Amino acid sequence: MENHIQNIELINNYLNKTLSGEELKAFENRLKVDESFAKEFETHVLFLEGLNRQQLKEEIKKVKQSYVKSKWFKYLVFTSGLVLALLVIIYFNGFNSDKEYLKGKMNFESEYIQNFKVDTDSIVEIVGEKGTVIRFNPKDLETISNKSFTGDSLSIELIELTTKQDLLLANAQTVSDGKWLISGGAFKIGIKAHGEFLILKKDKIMNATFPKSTNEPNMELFYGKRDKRGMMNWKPIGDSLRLNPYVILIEEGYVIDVEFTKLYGVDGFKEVYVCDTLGFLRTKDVKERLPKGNFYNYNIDTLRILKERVKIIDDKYDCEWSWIDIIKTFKTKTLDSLYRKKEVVIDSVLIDLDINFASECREIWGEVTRQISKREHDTLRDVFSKVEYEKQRSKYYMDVEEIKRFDNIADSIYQSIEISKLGWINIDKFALDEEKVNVKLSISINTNFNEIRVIDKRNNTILNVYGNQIDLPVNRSFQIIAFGVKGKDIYGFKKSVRFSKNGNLKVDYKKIDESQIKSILVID
Amino acid sequence: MNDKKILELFKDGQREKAFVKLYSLYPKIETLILSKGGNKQDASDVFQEALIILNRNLEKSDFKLTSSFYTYLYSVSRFIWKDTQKKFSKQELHNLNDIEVESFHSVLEEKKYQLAELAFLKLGERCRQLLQLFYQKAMSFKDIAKVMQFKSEKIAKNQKYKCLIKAKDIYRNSKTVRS
Repeated sequence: MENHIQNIELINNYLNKTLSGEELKAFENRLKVDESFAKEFETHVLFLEGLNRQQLKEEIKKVKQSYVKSKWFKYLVFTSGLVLALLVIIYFNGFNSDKEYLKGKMNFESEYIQNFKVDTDSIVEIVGEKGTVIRFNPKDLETISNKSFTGDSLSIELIELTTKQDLLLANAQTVSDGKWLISGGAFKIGIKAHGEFLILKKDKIMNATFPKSTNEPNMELFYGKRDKRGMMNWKPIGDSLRLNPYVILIEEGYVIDVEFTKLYGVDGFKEVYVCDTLGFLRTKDVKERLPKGNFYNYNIDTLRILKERVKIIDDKYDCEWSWIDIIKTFKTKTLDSLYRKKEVVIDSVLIDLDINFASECREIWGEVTRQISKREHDTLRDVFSKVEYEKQRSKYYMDVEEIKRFDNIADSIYQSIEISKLGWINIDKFALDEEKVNVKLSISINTNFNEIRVIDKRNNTILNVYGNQIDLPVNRSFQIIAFGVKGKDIYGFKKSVRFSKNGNLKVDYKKIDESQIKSILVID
Repeated sequence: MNDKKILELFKDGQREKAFVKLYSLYPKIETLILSKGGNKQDASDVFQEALIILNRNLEKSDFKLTSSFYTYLYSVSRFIWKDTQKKFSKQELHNLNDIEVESFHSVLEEKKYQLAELAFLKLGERCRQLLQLFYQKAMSFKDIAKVMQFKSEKIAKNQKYKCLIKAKDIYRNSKTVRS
């Protein structure tokens, strides 16, 4: 047995490679010559391999366990991910539904929509309730895919937001890429044919006149677009409102003086002024239409032109007729030299001549077309609108209201502009950079979604607050209106604020009914 | 899975890591065995056997892996399963390609090691422990005596010899029965 043990030990040493050179040589030689030793070696190796299988199986078992674990872990991760994704989707659906619900309740844009139906066979002109005038040629329109539209009528949607209140209720914040704007009104024009939205063809324009809601000078034109969140952003088109003045022409006319006629039994006439609005005319058009006009300034909103008959008298006759209207009378020493002339300039005034030497003072009658100031315009008495004048020229009728209306229109509208894009249009100017303070907002209730508006009490500026802080001009008064939503519960907050330094504002919500939203949105 | 990297792991003695990588092939082998009427346990046993065969061949200096690990393991697994089911037909054996012939031989070769393993498993628990400590844990007889509470190193040495002889007897007997 001892011999056997030694053999096995020798084999183990051989397998473990611990034999010396000589021993190894002797071992290998013995394997070759000693058959029973070789067999013993083979059986031993075989058995060790069998034993080794056990070790391998242990290793593989461990690997299998870790494989199964990792498989389950992957399943778990995947399932957890799926569950998490589902939860996120559910949360965001809830959040989005809350968000959409609140946004929908806060936006009263649809209440401002005015609808018009027009034919396509002629130039279209529509007038909005607040004075917006849109003029366009239907031939200048096409579908969004640049194809001709069909149909003989168009549906026009017009929105006129002329006040801060309108802008707030229609959720039209006055911001251009983060910069505050002072709004002079926001307008939306949408045109459809057969329910399909139309656009202006390339290089085609639309003429529009917008009512003026602010006296802020240097207003610019902005095109607006709502982003995915429904927030408005305006982009300047880099073109100030063009100076096409609104032209009012005042001419002399005569109507029957009813009182005089009744008193004396003969027709008596009274001199009146007939006022006609020529609309927005380019300087070139004004000059073409009134070539003999005396204009001192085209660069104004409203051009008032008075066309009246004047007298030129000979200086040496010195007619001292008390009834002569000095304003309308020009004196010259060379009256005879004007004979056969069509026009003359006296005291820098161009007079369109109407030769008549019949009177005692050798008067020459002419016509002067001159620009007058608003003040002079206001001093005119017996002013008729052209329409009224033409309707009622056979009777004495005094109605200055109509004229006043013209005057009001002229004072309350911007110059006519040409727009090349439909949709949202704004007449704005950038607010000046002012020293600002940072206000951090904290919300009293853990709502799912909040809509916060900042209303500048001084300017036509409405802002939406996106984060939990806002920079406000120092020492300026603002009104903060906020709404929050959690499920179907709505919370409201309204407060006037003024900050002289960085500070905090707690949005202290109170639960409200959705019917209260609009009343809270009313600016104090 | 990169076969080259797995091969390097085997060469570097990081067998367990290589097995981890190869286990990613298990689902395919499982599908194979399930499609042949086996169950999941059968699949697990077959795959384990295939890994043992692969390992044995890789340890041979003259072995060259001529296909991907997947192809090799798939082929070997197929033969292991057939061998288990004893479903080799003569026709099938005639039509084997080179890889399949190699796989077939490997499976047959492994059988003798399986018998040796079986012999080991038939030993009593103390014998198994003693042989494992000596061969697998490479412990000295002195330490083995201490761990297994033999009175002396020599007794441990004699006990080991007896266990080995007994295992070899079991192996020879089982081989005879099988033959």
